[in-house]
Amino acid sequence: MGEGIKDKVAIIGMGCTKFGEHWDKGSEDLIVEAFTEAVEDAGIEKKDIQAAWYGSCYEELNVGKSALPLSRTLKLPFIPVTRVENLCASGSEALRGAVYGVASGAYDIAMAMGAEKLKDTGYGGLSEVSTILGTKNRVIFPAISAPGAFAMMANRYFSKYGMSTEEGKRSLAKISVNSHKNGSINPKAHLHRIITEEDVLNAPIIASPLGLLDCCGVSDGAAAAIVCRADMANDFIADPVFVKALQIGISSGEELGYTQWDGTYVESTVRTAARTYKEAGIKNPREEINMMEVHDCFSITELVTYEDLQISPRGKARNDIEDGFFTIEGKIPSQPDGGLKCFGHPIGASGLRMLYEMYKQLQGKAGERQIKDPKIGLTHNLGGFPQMNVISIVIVGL
Amino acid sequence: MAKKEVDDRFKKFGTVSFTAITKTNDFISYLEKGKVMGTRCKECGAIYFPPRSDCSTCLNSNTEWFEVTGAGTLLSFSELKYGPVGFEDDLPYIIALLDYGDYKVFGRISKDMPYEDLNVGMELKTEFNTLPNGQLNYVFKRP
Repeated sequence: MGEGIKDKVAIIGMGCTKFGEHWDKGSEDLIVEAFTEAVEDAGIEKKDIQAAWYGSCYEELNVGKSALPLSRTLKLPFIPVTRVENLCASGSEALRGAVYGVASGAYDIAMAMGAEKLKDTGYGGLSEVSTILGTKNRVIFPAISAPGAFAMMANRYFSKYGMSTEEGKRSLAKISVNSHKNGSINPKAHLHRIITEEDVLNAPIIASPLGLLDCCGVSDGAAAAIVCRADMANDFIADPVFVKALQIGISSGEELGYTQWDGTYVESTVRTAARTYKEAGIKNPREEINMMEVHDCFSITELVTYEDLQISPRGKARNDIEDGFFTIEGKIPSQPDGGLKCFGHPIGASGLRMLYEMYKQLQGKAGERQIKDPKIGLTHNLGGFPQMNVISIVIVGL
Repeated sequence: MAKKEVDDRFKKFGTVSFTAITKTNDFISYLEKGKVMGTRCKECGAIYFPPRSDCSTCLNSNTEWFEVTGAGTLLSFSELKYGPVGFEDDLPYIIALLDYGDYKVFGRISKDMPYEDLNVGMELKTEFNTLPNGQLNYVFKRP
């Protein structure tokens, strides 16, 4: 590993649309909305942006291939613009392009934008996944679904750690309850209803043991970040947020059937977290991370991620959940904005949406959701399945 | 010039086939004879299910077929109430992973096995199956 990007790049502006069912807006409209907020926040003009990265997962549902959708929508002045796609990490991958572009010295100011519009598809979950995994992998998983794959992880986890289905489901229910509590007071969240454990336990089953309220929503949204050289940051705003580490880790696919992987953790998160902590200089994540937004596509995903990020010991996340460790008043508030659970998951936007919350929290601008004096925040995305996936982890701080 | 023959045997696999052509097309010919097969590297002994024609351990293409026989241990399972596009008529169905020690097999539980009878750690076998739409796959059953 090289010397890394710690404290070389600052975030000086961010924008995030309300996530939800935007039947009256196109993807372009959402991009404009996120962009307008971000440039106003940074106090810059469009002409100040020297390069941009655009993350979206499904170009066929959005605005088309290439980086033209971003450049054309914002009428960017003939600058380099790159479209990136890396499943659920697409937004964080766009951030990586912008951050690395600035850290390399190639640009002083760059932008990352993520957008996705899913509700128009009419499909209840994410769209058809056959081509996402490549045809060869469909030989292996001809009939699998995302809820099904994570549901198998839940059953395996319950079995390994001696939990009955009822006990396991109750621990998972607390995760969704926490997210909904936080999301209920976030005006940008899609879902605002406070739910109870009983609501979660009684919800219709999607893929046993996961019910409807163990699954995140489907939404439309866009989010953007403006980044610049760390030494320039105070020229723009008084309260910049610095990138401490940014790592992507991609599964080799080996863990799915060919190794001793037991299905109760995500190998790529474990390995990517180790690199991220090293880059950020973090020795004890449980003590040094103050808050996080992790990839809660399903409640079980959030639970194993607590362990994979070395926040909770193996098999002990349930104890932390029951102790309120991850609530807004807890030691490491998780999903303070409501998470994917309340925001839904417009794929390209999600990583930057998470970052938006960490940014606002670090600046003390999170309103009713404000966490007391956070110094370090973490975002995590997991794209794909437990056994084959794309991971991004970003650490930001003051 | 004669038209080139496309070896698309994999079109017969699964409720919806996502794969037309692979170097392991013989998997389907074996399946048609009732055999579920994986591959073994003749150089380093690495075992692959689903089958691979190239060994990712020692990077050679000297592999041979072996039959998935006997019982595996049920690692996990889930009953899907909603399925991917194209699988609607199969619902509900149970997906599962069997551990054979040296390799694992992902698949579906036989329709005649109730969900309530399943437990992590139980032994099941892998067996050839014909789907209602005439497509081929394999399912897990009691040994």
